[in-house]
Parts: sequence; C-alpha cells; structure tokens
Amino acid sequence: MKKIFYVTLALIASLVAFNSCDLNKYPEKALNTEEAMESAADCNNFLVGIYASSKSLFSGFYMYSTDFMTDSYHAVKNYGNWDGDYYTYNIVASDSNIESVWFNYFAVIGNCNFLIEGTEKLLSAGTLNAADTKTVQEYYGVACFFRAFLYYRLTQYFCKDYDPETAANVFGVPVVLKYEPTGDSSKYPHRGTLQATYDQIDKDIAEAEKYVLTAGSPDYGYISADAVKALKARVALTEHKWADAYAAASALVDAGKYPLVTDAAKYADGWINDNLGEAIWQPIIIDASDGGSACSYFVHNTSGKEGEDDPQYFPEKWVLDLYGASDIRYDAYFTESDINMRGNVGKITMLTKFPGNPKLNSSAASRYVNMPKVFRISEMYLIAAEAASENNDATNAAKYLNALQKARGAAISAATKDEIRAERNRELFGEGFRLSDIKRYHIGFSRDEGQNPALIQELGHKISQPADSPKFVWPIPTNEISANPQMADEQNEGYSLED
Amino acid sequence: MLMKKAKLFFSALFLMLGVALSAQNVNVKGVVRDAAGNPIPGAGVLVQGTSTGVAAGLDGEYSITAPANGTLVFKAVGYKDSVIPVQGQSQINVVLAEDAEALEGTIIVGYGSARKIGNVVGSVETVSSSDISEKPTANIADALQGKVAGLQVFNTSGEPQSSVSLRLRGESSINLSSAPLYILDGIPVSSGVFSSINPNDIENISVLKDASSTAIYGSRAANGVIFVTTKKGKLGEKPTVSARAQYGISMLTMYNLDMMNASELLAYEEKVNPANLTDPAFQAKKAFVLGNGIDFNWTNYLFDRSAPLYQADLSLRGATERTNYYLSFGFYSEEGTSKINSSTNRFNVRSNVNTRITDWLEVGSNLGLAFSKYHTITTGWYSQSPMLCAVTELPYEVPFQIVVNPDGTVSYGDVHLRYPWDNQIDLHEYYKNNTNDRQEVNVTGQAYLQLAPVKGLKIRSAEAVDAFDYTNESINKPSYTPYAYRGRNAQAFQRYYQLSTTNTIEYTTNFGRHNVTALLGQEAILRHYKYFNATGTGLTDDRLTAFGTTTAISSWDGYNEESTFNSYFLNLNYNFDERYFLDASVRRDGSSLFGANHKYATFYAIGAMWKVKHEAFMQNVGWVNDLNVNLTYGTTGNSGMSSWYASLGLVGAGSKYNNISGWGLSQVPNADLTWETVATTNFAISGRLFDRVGFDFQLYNKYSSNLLMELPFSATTGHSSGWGNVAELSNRGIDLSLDVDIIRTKNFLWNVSANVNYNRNRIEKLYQGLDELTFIDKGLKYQVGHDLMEVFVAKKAGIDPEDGAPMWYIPGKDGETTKEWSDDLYQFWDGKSANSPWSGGFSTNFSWGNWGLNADFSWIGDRYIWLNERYYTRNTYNLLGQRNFERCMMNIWTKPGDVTDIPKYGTPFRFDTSVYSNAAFLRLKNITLSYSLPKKVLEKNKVVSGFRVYVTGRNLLTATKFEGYDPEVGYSNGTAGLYPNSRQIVGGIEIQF
Repeated sequence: MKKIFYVTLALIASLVAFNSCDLNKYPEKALNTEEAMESAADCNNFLVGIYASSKSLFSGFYMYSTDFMTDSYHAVKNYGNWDGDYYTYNIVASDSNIESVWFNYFAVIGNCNFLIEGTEKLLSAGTLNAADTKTVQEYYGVACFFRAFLYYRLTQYFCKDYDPETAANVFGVPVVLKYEPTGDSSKYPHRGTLQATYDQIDKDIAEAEKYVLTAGSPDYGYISADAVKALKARVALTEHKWADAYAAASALVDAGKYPLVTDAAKYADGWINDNLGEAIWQPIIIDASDGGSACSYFVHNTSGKEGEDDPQYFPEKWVLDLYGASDIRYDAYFTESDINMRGNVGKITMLTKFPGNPKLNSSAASRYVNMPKVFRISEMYLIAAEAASENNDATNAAKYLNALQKARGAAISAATKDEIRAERNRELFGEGFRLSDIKRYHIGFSRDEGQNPALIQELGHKISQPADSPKFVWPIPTNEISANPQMADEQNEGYSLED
Repeated sequence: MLMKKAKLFFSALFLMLGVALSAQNVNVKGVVRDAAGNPIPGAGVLVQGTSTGVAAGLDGEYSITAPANGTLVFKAVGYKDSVIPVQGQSQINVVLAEDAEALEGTIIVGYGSARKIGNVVGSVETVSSSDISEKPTANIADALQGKVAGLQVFNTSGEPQSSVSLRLRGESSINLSSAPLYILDGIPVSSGVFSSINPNDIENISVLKDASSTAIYGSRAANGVIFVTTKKGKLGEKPTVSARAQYGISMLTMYNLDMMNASELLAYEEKVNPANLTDPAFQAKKAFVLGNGIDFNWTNYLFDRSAPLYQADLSLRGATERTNYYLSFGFYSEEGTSKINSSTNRFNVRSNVNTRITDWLEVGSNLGLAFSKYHTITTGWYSQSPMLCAVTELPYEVPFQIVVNPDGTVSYGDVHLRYPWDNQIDLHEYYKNNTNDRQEVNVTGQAYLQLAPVKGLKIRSAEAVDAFDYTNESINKPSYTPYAYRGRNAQAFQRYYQLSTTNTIEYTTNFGRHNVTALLGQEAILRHYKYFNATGTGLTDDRLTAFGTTTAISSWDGYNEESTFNSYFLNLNYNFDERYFLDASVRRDGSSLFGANHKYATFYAIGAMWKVKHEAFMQNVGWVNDLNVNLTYGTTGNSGMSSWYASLGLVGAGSKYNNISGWGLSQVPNADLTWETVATTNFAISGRLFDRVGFDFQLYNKYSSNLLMELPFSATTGHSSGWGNVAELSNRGIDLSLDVDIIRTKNFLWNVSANVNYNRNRIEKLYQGLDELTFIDKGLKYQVGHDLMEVFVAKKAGIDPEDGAPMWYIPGKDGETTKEWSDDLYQFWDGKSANSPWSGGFSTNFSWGNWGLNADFSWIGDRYIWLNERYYTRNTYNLLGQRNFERCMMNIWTKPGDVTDIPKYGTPFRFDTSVYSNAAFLRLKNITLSYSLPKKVLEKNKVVSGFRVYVTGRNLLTATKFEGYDPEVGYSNGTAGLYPNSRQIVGGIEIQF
C-alpha cells in the first residue's frame, strides 16, 4: 500500500504540473502587427512597401480613365468598349475599376497611417540615437507626403472642384488618420467636408516640408524635398492659394536643378527610355512584370505587324492642331500610323507618349510600361504662370509661360488665360490632368469631328458636357456605401445606390 | 480523509432514502473482494426485490439488514453480479468475478473507461470490424457508406489514394470545415488516418452524433466524432495467429457520358456545317476514316482496364493473465483504373500491448505505422488530365502515326507526342516523362500509465502522437520536348505532428443502486506543420535527374506553423438502478487559433435516459426486450480554420521597390475571433421487440451560430474584408434505424437492417441585416430560410423552334420568357439543391450453416449537380471539329420547325438549368459471399482453428439517372473531370492458427 501511495502521489504531482501549451502562436512568414514597428529598419521596410504599392497608382488606368471623360480622345470603331463606360459616361457606382481605385488608395493610406503612428511612437519613446532619429523623422515626413498626395488624388476622382467659398459645404473624402481596422460598421467615418479634407492635406504637406530633407535630383526615384514642394504647388493651385502655388513652383524652377529639354531627339528619347531629366519624382520600375500600369490602349499592336496597329483610343483633332510646326513635343507625343482595328483600316495619328520602355520588357513583345513621371518641372512652369496670372502678375506669368514655350520650340505668346491653358494641354496632354483642369476652369467641353471620322466609334463621338457637370465626379463605390452606414446618404450627385 | 467523508455522506444519504426493516430480518455483514483478494470499495449490496441497499466501504466491508429468507445481490462495475441467498447467515463474504462479457459489449465514449453500449446516454452508432475489414478499398471510410443513419459518405474518386468526404447530419458550417473529428484509440487524429490505417486492425468504429456524447471533445466536435478503436488481445484468450490474403481487380463503375462514335461525329459535323458536305478535304478524311473502320476508343486508351488489387494481413493476438497483445502486419496494393500513373502501395505495422504490472498499475501502448508510396493523376479539365482527353478527343483521330500498307490496309505506327490536329500532348508519353513519386509515412501512437490505487479510482496519463511525413519528387525529363518546363526536378516536403497529453482521474462507485462515475481531465495539444519545397532546373540528361544534378533553383518556399489547444473537462455520469441515467459534461477549451479576447470557450452538455425495460412493470411484458428513451442537449465548437493565424493582425512582405522587398499590412487583427458553436438537441427512442426487431428513432435540432464569414469592410480601414463570427445555420432532422431477424433457426439466419436520415438545412442569419448574398459564378445564393447549397440558376424554357435560340424564364414574371441572356435571369430552382435531404442504406445478411451472404446498399436522394463537362460535351458555340460531343447533340436545331432542346450552332454556352443533372443513386456498396470450414472438420487437426474463403464485390451495381461519370460527387455543387469511381471483385482466404 505504501508503494501505491507514493506512485499515486508522484502521478498526481505530475498531473498538477502538467504540460500546458502556450496559446500565443505567431506565423513565420509574416509579422504580428503589434511587433512590426520597433526600429528605424522596420520603418524603412514599411516605407519601401508604400513605395512599392504606390508605384502603379499614378499611371495607366489611374491616369487615362479621367482623360477618357474629357475631350482628349476618340475611341476607334470596334474598340470593344474597353473602358467605354468612362468614355461614354455610363459610369455606375458598382464599377469594379472605381472600386479598386478607392480601395487601393485607402490601402496605402492605411499603411501610411500605420507608419506615421509607428514613427511618432518611436520618436516620442526617445530611445533612438541621433542618426536614427533623423532617419525616422524623414520616414515620417515621406509618409505624410504620401498620405497628403493620396488624399489629394482621391478628391480629384471623387469630389467636386475645390472652391474656398463652398468647400465647407461639399463632400470631401473620409479622412482617416489612424490604423484601426474593425468590422464594427458603426465606427466607420462620414465623408466630411472638402474643406476638412484639404485642411488635412495642407497639414500633412507642412509636416513633410519640415521633415523631408533629402535633396532632389532629375528623375529621382524617391520622395525629395523638391517632390514635397511640387505637391505643395499643385495642391495650392487647386486651393486657389495663388501666392503659395507661385512661390513653390517658381522656387523649383528657379533653382535650375531640372533643366527643360530643348532638343527634339533627346525629348522623344526621354519618353521612351524614361531618362527625360525633367521628373521630380519618377517611381522606379525594374521590369514590366514588376508593376507599373501599362498604356497599351494608345499604341496597341496585337499582330506585331507593321501598319497593323490597333489602338483603342486616339487623340482628338483639336489636340493635334494645338502644336506649331517647330514644336518638339509633337513628334515626341504623336505618330501617324496605319491601323487595322478588327477590320477598320485607315490612317490616324496615335498617342505615342507612353510607348513602353524597351528596357523593361523581359520578353520580346512590348508590354507598354513606362516609369510614371508623377511630377515634372514643366508642370511647375505652368503652375507658376497660372498662379501669377490669377494673382494679376502678368510679368511673371509671361516669364514662366514663355520660358517653357521657348524650350519646346512653340510660338511665344502673351500670358493670357487661354494661352496658359493651351500650353498646359500641349505640355501635359495624356498625363491625366485634363479632367481636373476642366473642373478647375469651370468649363464644359464637346468632342470634335475628329481626325478620321470614319474610324470613330459612333457612341460618344461628339459627346458634350456642361461646365461643372456632376458627371465629372466619380461615384463612391457601392461596396463602400453598403459596408459603411455613415456614408449611406453621402453618394455623389447623379448616382444611385442600386447601380 | 476524503473517502471517509464520502462514505459518511453516502451512508447518510442511504439512511435518508429509508431502509425498510421488518421483523424477520437478520443483520448480514461481510467483505466484497475481487478475484485477487482486493476489497471492492463501493460495491453495491442489495436485497433482491426491494429498494433496500447499501454500499461497501473502502475496505470492502458492508453491513445490511435483510430478510432471513431473502436474497442478496452484489454488484460492482466491471464485475459479474453475484446472487446469494441469505439463508439466515450473518456473515457472507463474496468474491466477484470480472465481467469479461460486460467488457465485450462496451464502447469508449469520451475519455473514461469503456461503458456498456446500452448505458450510453448520448447518440452513438457502432460499426463492427466485419463491416470494414474485407472491403476492397484503401480508405475505410468508404465502408461506412449507408451504414449509419445521418452519416453521408462520398468516395468521389477512383484514385486508389483518395480521400473520402463525410458529413454527419448536414453541413453545419459555411466557411469552416464540416468534417467530423476523428479519434483513434482516444487520440484526436487527422482525417488521413482513414486512408493510412489497416482495416483489419479495427475492432469497431463508433459514430458519436449528439452533444451529450461529443461535448467532452469540446472545441472540435461540432461536426460529430468518429471514434476508431483498434483490436487488442482479450483476457484469457489463447494466442491466435490470423492470416489473410485477398486478390481482385478494379474496373470503372459506370460511364454515363454517352459520346458519339466516329461515323456519328462525322455526320454531326456535316449536319451542323453543311459546307463540310462539299469540302473535298473533309470528304476525303471521312472516306478514309469510314473506309478503314477507324473509330478510336479514347476511354479505353486511357481507362477501364482490369487493374489488380492485392492485400495481405498477418496478425497475432492473445493474452496472458496480466498482458494482452495484438500485433499485425499488413500490405495493400491497388492500381487505379486509369492506365497511367495511378496506384498505391501501403505497408502497415501495428502493435497494441497492455500490461498490468501490479494490481494497481497498468501500462500500455498502441502504435501504428504506415508507409505509402503512390502515384496520382491530374483531374479536372486540364490538358494533363486524362479525363478531358478520354471524353472529348475526336474518335476519328488516333494517337498514333497512321501507316498505309502496300495492300491498302492501314496500321498504327509510333505514338504522336503531340497530336497534330489539336496540339494535345499524349498522356501515356507525358506521364512516362514527367513522373511523380509521392511517399508518406504515418505514425499514430500512444503510451499510457494507469493507476488504480483504490477500487473504482483510475488515474491515467497518456502521451500520444499523430504524425505524417510526406515527400513528393517530380521530375520533368529533359528529352521530353512537348513540355515547356522540361529538365526539372522539384522536391516538396511536408512534416506534421500533433503531440497530445491527456490526464484523467476517474472515480466509479455505487451505493446500492446508485451508480456514479466522475471524470476530471486535462488535455494539451500541440500541432506543428513544416513545409519546404524547391524546384531545380537545368537537367540535360534523362539518366541524370537527381535533384543534386540540377544547376539552378527556380523557386522555393519553406516555413513552420504551430497551433495549440489547452482543455479541461469534467464528466459526471449517474444512474439509478440502471433505470434512470443522467450524464453531464463540461469542457473549457483554449486555443491559439482564436483572438486574444476569446481564446477560451466553454462547452457543455446534459443528457437523460430512461431504460424503460428495467422498470418493474415491464418485467412481465415479454415482447419488449429493451426500450430506452433519451433526451440530450449541449454545445460543441468548430475550430476547423484553414489558417492557424486568422485572428492576428499581420504584416507581410509586399511587392518590391527597386528590387528591395517592402512590408505591408496584410491581415486585419480580430481579437474577437472565436469558435463557431453548434447547439444540438437530440431526442431518441430505441429498443428491441419480440427478440427480433431492433429500432432506433432519433429527432435532432442542430443550430450553428457564430459562423465565420468574410465581412466587407469600409475601405477606409485599409482592408476590404475581415472574418467575423456572424452567421447562423440550422440542421433539423430524423435518423431512423431498423434491424430485423426475419429467420432465426439453428442453421439459418436472415437479418435485414436499414437506416434513413432526413436532414433539412436552413440558413438562419447572414450578417449586417442582410438576408441574401449572391454568388452568380458559383451558381449559389445564400438566403435566409433556404438551403446552403440551393441551386441558383437561369431556368431554361426550351428552344424556340422558329430560330433555334434558347429561351429562359424571367424571374418573378409567371411563365414569361426571354432570349436575352443576363445575370438578372438567375433564380432559385423550385427548391432544388446540391444537398440531398434524404439518405440511407440497408443491409441483408444470410447465414446458412457455414455459408454467409452479406449485401450492403446505400442510397441518396435528389441532388442537383452542375456538370461542367457539358461546357465541352454539349457546346454549341465553337468546338465543332475540335472535340467530340454527346450523342444527344445529334438533335441540334438546324432549321425552322425543329423541335429540340439543343439550340442552333453558334449559340453561346450558358450555365443554365440544362447543365444540371440529378445525382440521386442507389448502390450495391458491398456484397460478400463466404464459407467457413465447419468446426468438426477443424477439430481433427490441432493447428488450424479457423478457415474461411470469401468473394467480395464493391460498387457492383448502381441505379442512377446521373449523366456524369459517377453520382458519388462530394460536397460541392459542381463537378468537372473527376476520376471516375471504381468497382472491385475480390477473392480472399482467411486462416486462423
């Protein structure tokens, strides 16, 4: 009996001290969010992630979809209705591309918020050494830049034009500054006012100006102090802050760091090989498979045969007519070609501004990917001219306008509103500015007869829109509105929930 | 101290219950002992025919007042009752014999000791070894088909190494696993055990259906529990060697796709495209094909051979006074009906040894090892899948070069590596040059230590492992030019192990007629999964294909994953006089799978049973042999998550920028993520009448809540969706089983049994107030009040005889039709579903002298299955001249006035009601004819103690209207290119020494 007693005691003791498992388990191929931001190196990894996921958010569809909603292009007959909903204004709130734009922008904003919160926490903990402190501050600034820029872009798609008089009364986009994902729909935000959105954009730009100290250089692949300034100029122009816009834009021009290209061959080559030297920020793309959005719609060639191009869209006639004979941009941007679009044969002038960088094609066939030129110095000339003109500073308006015209071999003109606008079209055609410009100018448009009317798809050929048309604004995606009860009554004018 | 107090407590209790005393009484004292002389504490001492009773103390001593002419009944769990007349004695010492028979008819439910089958409160059905061991299939789950009411089993593939899908009483989850929990000898194991265990090692399989029997398994038992018990030596059994060998063949079960032959297809191509009538090339081809009698059978080229199947087992079992043992070795080999790359070879070893070292210490181990080496084909509609080729290749083409001999006859030359007419690769050649070598080692084992310091108390500690190691080496030979990725060697390794520790304390006692068992336990489980793969490229010589001879690595991956469970449980089982039973369990489970706020959850169950036959008033009702009524209620959980880290916020490596990998937020944290819960109410009446008719009727209501669904998030959170415990689902139904001995004489026995289940599945709640969610591409719509798998489809209204265009009914507009296809045409199809509410089976057993004939049928009711095959075989859009078609296509509409259901050529293929087929079936699952040598004959020799020969057939007959290959389609609403099921005929010999 004694033995039984001891063995029992031993077993009971072992039962009491039983082997229980640790219930906190973490994967090896991913990090726990709570432990993912503990050093300057961690912050850098997130920043690289933000660069990586945003490199394709400013080109391809993100760029041309809004141009399709203007007087920029005509669609070729039998174009297969590729993105025809934008071209013919049949946009519905359940449009899957618009859903992706909305989601992809907010996904990167979420990462920015996470990085901003993380850097703030690291900096306030005071555990970093001096060098790391400076580095982390710079990361913080760049994250603020991205957040500001993405919110600004969202307003361009989803909001009416910013007017200081009315901005407090129109919808903005929901401003979320903390990464707090939840399934609790009662915690989701309202849209807020456009003024509130821009206040936040301004605040972030101010932070970025303070902390992004890296000097820029031509075609730089990362965010520099110059890129922050370029964003500031673009946003200030939208906000009618003429003096701020002028100051930022002219400072960039006057620093002379980004000389305008004046040579026709060099200019054309710059668009093909992404070595223009005019870009203030040009996201780095290593290979077409590595991201970046293609612009095949303008130069597509399915058959691979000479004279059988089959682009879906080509520029309207008035666009081509903007250029004078000695303008170096014309040959860089446009090419006359024999097309064969599903049996529709003829000559048209195609947009070849984004022909695809051959160095990015790992296979022989062109994949139509170029590195996006998100900010270019020529836009700063145009912002400086427009801001000066709005500020009744005709001298400086002419100074910047004419400098650009001279460099490109265009006729030198007076700095009238119309001439500044025409120059903006000439210089920035196809780069996704047109719809925002139309909204800012408060003008309407009508599509023209076209280069080759026989080759133009009938539907949408001569479409027109009045000034300040509500259709210039995209709908808030249906899946957002159905997931977020706060936005149930905040759809843009002219779009229904049922769409 | 504790025991003393308990004794006092229970003694007091009995006093309160009142002990009837009478004048002629004597006081009887004594000690109750077991055969070894140890006292049996708590043994019941009853005065027969009265309610008087006491319990023996710790030392086995008792004292009772009984009529001098009365009779005492001594009872203890695990011992035979002893009935002793008092005859005026005042001292009666009793030795109770162990009840071997009682142990025989017992099963283990949950963690404790075995219980008498009739005394289990919950709903449990048991399938015995004879139903399992001789079936010609590598997967024993197949043998359960049609055997258990409410258990649907589908063997969806003829691949020898294939898994079987099981559902017990319907689908109880939307996104998590609906498969039951598998327990092997008390250890939770993965479903792979069914394809890796030797069927001959199984003693029985119990299916635990209600919460009372499953709640003790808590967090993983929501879909029921399948409890597999392996054999062990029986106490007092002589060593017995049993050897068995069986050999047989496999064939295709059926082939319900009725394809055209060469001349029909040529005629069809002329009918649809009249230009062929005058096309000289077509006509020349036709003349050549018909003139030379070319009509190639692609199915026979790739399938439908008599594939061999071989199985051999050797086992030894027996017991000494203190040790029982079961040792076995098994070999199983099966080739698939596909003529290429489909086979399995399996070796099994098992050792179950239990020994009682002392009277109070028992140790034992169960160890099973399996090694499998197998090959599998690609299924589905891919060019590497023989299915596509076997069905749709052109019968007027042959895979060989055609040689025209000088005498004008034709003969076949070398095989085409790629067929010149459609660029399809020849699959015999493909699999010869692109090999897969899959090997798997499975280990399930446990060792335990059990102490019985005092009678009735068992303290047990068990350590167990369930593990597999899988490797796959695939080689793409460099000389095989048709394949773009040639010259490669890819290696994949998986290792999984689950370690579990289970500690229990069980105390069983009886005080008079009160029988109590209490079990307290703790369990910890660790699961670990390791994965690694690498693909090497650059092989240049077919003779040098080792991984080490590759020159570069093109892709690789590797990681470890872990998940854990900690559990505590308590079970109380009480019965009064084996008449009134109460059973209560509670289990608290913690798991790493769930969110920080909900790592732990509690499950519980309570059940009551009344054994009516044990009432005094039933003793004289001779025609009722047994009658039980029980009612149980309880909750269980489902933790069958595909990801082990679903509750965590995760940051993953995102895409690269300037060739540097960045990080990004990849998964939403959900600290509230928790178990799905199923609450089950079960009511049952079971019994046996006239000593001939056994019956079991069960009524159940399974209500699943907290079901996980992917909720759409506001994009402003940075995510598009996240998992939430939101939805609810119910399964309500009836299980009915009947078992009748129709003839039972000395030499002749005929028994028939049948079972049927009706299950109604219903979505009760979705999320965010939505009452419907549509998945048009899957042909499904979740709607509150409807079945989870209800078909959502455009209803075809026929073909307009005027223009040959298909017409569809417009939803909501009575009888109105349209020819305009759109997503708006989708609607529910009059309640038709891919789930059948009805299923069942029946068996018949004859035995006449030494002959036995046993047949098992299984059946399932209407299920509407989407036949993706028809995208090819009934295509009217663009496959003319490229593919073969079903015969019914000969009726294609060609001119106004044609009344047909095949639209005109050029009509786009639409997934409407015409792609669905009813997969209801009745199948002769297994039939066995056997003969045993009579005992008389065997008695003469002293070596052989048993000799039996048998013939078994599996899936021999099937009745179905299904127009796919085989109606055993798994839990899916569609099928495309499945490996057709197989049937077997096997003969075997079994000898015992």
